[in-house]
Amino acid sequence: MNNGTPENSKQMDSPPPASTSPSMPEKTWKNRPILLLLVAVGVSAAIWFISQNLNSTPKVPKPDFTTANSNVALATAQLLKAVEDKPNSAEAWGQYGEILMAHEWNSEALICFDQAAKLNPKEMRWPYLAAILLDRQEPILALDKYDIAKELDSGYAPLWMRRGNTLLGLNRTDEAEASFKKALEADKNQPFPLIALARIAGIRENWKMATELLEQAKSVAPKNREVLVELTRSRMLLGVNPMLGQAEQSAILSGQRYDTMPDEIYSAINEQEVAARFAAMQADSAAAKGDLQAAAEGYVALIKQRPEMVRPRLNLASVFLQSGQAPLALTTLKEAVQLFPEDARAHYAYSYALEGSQQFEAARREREEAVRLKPDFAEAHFALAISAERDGDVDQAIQSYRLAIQSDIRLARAHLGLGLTLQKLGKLEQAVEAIDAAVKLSPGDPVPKRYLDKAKELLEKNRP
Amino acid sequence: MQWAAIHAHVNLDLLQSLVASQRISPLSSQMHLLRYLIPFLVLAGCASKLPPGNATKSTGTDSYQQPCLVDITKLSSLDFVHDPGDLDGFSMPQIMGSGAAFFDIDGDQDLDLLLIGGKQLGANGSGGDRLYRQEAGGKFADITQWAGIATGGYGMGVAVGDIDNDGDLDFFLTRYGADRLFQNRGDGRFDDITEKAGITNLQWGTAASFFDFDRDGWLDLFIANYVDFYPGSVCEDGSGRRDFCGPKSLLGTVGRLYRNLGKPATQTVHSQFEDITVPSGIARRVGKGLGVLCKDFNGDGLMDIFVANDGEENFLWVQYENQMFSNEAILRGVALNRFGEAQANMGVVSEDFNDDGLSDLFVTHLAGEYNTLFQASQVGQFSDRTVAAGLSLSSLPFTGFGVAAADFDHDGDVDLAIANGGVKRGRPAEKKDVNAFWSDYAQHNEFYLNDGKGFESQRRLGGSDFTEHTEVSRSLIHGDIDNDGDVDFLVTNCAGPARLYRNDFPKLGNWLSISAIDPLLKRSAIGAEIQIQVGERVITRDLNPSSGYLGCNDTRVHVGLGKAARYDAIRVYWPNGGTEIEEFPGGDSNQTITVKRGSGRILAGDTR
Repeated sequence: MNNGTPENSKQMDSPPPASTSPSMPEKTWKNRPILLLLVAVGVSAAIWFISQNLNSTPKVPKPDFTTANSNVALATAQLLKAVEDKPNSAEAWGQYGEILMAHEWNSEALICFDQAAKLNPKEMRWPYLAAILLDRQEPILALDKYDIAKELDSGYAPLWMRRGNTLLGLNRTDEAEASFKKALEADKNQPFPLIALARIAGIRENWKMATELLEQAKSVAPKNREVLVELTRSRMLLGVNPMLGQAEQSAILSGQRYDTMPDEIYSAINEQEVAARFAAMQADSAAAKGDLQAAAEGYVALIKQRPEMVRPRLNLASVFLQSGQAPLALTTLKEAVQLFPEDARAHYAYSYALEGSQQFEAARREREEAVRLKPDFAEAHFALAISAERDGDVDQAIQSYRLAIQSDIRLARAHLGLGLTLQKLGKLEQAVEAIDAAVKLSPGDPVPKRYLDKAKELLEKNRP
Repeated sequence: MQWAAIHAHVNLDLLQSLVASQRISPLSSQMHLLRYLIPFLVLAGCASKLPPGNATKSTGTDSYQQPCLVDITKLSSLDFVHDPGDLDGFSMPQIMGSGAAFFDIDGDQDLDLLLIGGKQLGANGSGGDRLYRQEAGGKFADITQWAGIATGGYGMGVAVGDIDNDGDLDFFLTRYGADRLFQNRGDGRFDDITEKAGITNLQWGTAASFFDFDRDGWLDLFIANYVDFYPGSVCEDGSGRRDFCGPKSLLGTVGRLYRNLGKPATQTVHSQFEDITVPSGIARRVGKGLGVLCKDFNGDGLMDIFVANDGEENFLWVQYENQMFSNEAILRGVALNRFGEAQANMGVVSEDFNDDGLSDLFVTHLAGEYNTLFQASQVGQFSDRTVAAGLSLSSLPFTGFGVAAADFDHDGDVDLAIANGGVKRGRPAEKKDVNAFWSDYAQHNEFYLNDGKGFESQRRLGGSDFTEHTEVSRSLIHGDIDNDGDVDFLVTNCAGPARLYRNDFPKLGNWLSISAIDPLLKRSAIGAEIQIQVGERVITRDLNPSSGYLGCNDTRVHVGLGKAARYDAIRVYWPNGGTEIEEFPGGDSNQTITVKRGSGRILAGDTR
């Protein structure tokens, strides 16, 4: 021990050779807790930093609204506020992105869609809209987004069509073909995937296949201009007489723009659509709050903005009625019917205005027109039943009530009306049954209940 | 209403009959057969042509060691600056720019320059057009006043041609306002003969082209008209800011075709024109024309008319024996892009880009769309092959207007120069050569070299003044401004200087410059097709100065020959009189040649 100790002491006093010192492991071991602590702190800090960055909300993009149209600026500012109020709402980010996209603030919209997708990775719309934004400028990046979107919803045909076109634009013809085939699988009722596949056959100069595909497309959409034109051209290039019929000739000469695949997601962010949606929202909100003046102004502005829409006119008429200006409502609805003669809602609304001005026959005709245009229009059938009853046409009334119920079995008023009419005809058991249905469909409403009690009482009195 | 009524009476029978009789089929025309068989018959025993891509080149560099397209505007004393007038009204013509023309006004064998100006819309007095004569040392002198070309209206485009076959070049100006026709006195001074000549186009004329559609030896005139725009129209961009109107919100118009009746016996001073828009069938379709190119597209020996429409289907007016025109663009594959979309078609050129002996079409477009290469698969049949040619992605961010197709490096393949500039507010570029107002519209120009297999953008390589400038460019015209055997060019800019670029590109081969003259007519044979036989290879070019956007090019046909030190023959398909193909003997490369009708060997056709 003694011999050993001085030696050890000596060794410890003098610096040992670096690689041979037996005391080094022991010394390191003694410092290990501190090192471990430091490492742990470092790792924690790194994790915290990464997680903070992963979950961090990007700076909300704010384009320069100052020079923008006031309606656009107002709508955009409102949706911006929604994002600021709810920074973790994917929907708020997405909707803000939509309005930015609609007004061509594309790079700002892209930030929003990316954040919306991060907050709700299961929603297909956000990567899809981001892809659409990118595919005219950055098709490679667009493809990444389309691929994310297709994993979330593989049954949305427009997505496969757009993806196919992007691939075609990158000269990746085989992949484009596969994408168009997916579009066809997703929606067999559209000619567009078949046209796209025919186009690929044309690129490969396989005019026989192109012709066959276009024949198929023609069977799906016999009046589609693109189908007719491309089929004619394909037949010509195949070397056969294209045999132009009237439809083909008209298609070739018409000059009308080709139809495109209907795309609900994309069309919802159409510039006018977004602005109109916002304007409608504002007007509806004013009407709900009882601010009829603001609501009327909103609907008038919307009619100017979207003259092709019937709804703002109907809502405006409703506001006029609520504010006691029946003649104005009547004029508005008459104009709506003239402008939209094929719109059942317009005829239906007009009928009430006519009824309000004691024009019962005209009201009934409008209701008949409404149900002719829309045979499953339950409210219109109900209204027609009322008209028929007023005219003493009980059979028609009963039939209309039944059609109203057939169109919407939950329409309590129709059950009640049917019941009361049957009661008048002395069909008391059927009447009780119908009124009972009305009571069950509107449990809190005392009126049907009162009629039910009376009907039951009448039934009891009349029992043999 | 008037045009709608006309549209409703489209002659369906004509279309039916032409399709039924297979006239659309490319192999129906004897002329066509001759055209494509003669090169092989002449060189009996020749093997088939080399496949596309045989004339390859490789610069072997990732950047150019010296400037390739050098801005020599100041060096040339060219001081033209486009004046769009007061911009408060965001008037649409102001964003459409204006054209230019290279032509020899005085017969001194060098190119002079006509630049079209804008000036105040609706203002009286002279417009902003300027005529420059090239003088010693390559300097340009403004001779506008002396030349007598001052005129009103807001200037757009120009077409050049000898309308009276007197040996000097006349020109036609399109305007937002009444178009004007100027006749050359012979010394570079001009007289406005618009009314005397019977031309009245009050619509918004854009591109125009002289061509002899009826083969009577007198140059006829086609004018593309754009939209029905009124200065009071107010338009906004997507965010509601005031911006220039686009074509979608405006009605289209009808292009006009004027037949040159020549000089009547009682009138020897100038030609008379007759408006045959309606009887020719051109009035059947309303369009939004910005680009025009006249040539025989279907190989039947009759001149046809391609019209590039902004935002709508292009027209290809194919001419028939009865001098009626039928729009066959959609059936011939040049109306829409490969996705079936109508694009914003602006400038147009036609050349054989893939060296297969068939002329292709290239059309410039809006940002977000790609410039389209309609490649001929058969005579008169085209397919969008832009992507395969490598021209799509690089063009997506830019709005292309002017375009020149020429072999800038003499490797034997046709290259492309494109003038870009936005029409809608975009993000301001980092480097700009324009003021704050125009900064949202300024873009880089683009230059592509064709290596025989496809195109490669040269912009990334830098070293070129042409691609470095960031302006709102519009027309791009080309010509050998210094007579050194290569193709130089000039770009016009909205509210900016016209810039002249000298071609200092590293040359990879030899060249020929060919003038084709009809001595009886005392003028260039506009509309002639010229074939140059080089060994087994046949290079096909058109003599057609009116192409691109609003401009007019040098009438000499420039050809890059690659490594070939000699050419074996030149064949000319004369565009007027009876069908005639004439061959001229071969010679050394690197020279300017003038071939005169009647001095060669007749290969086929009816001589006059």
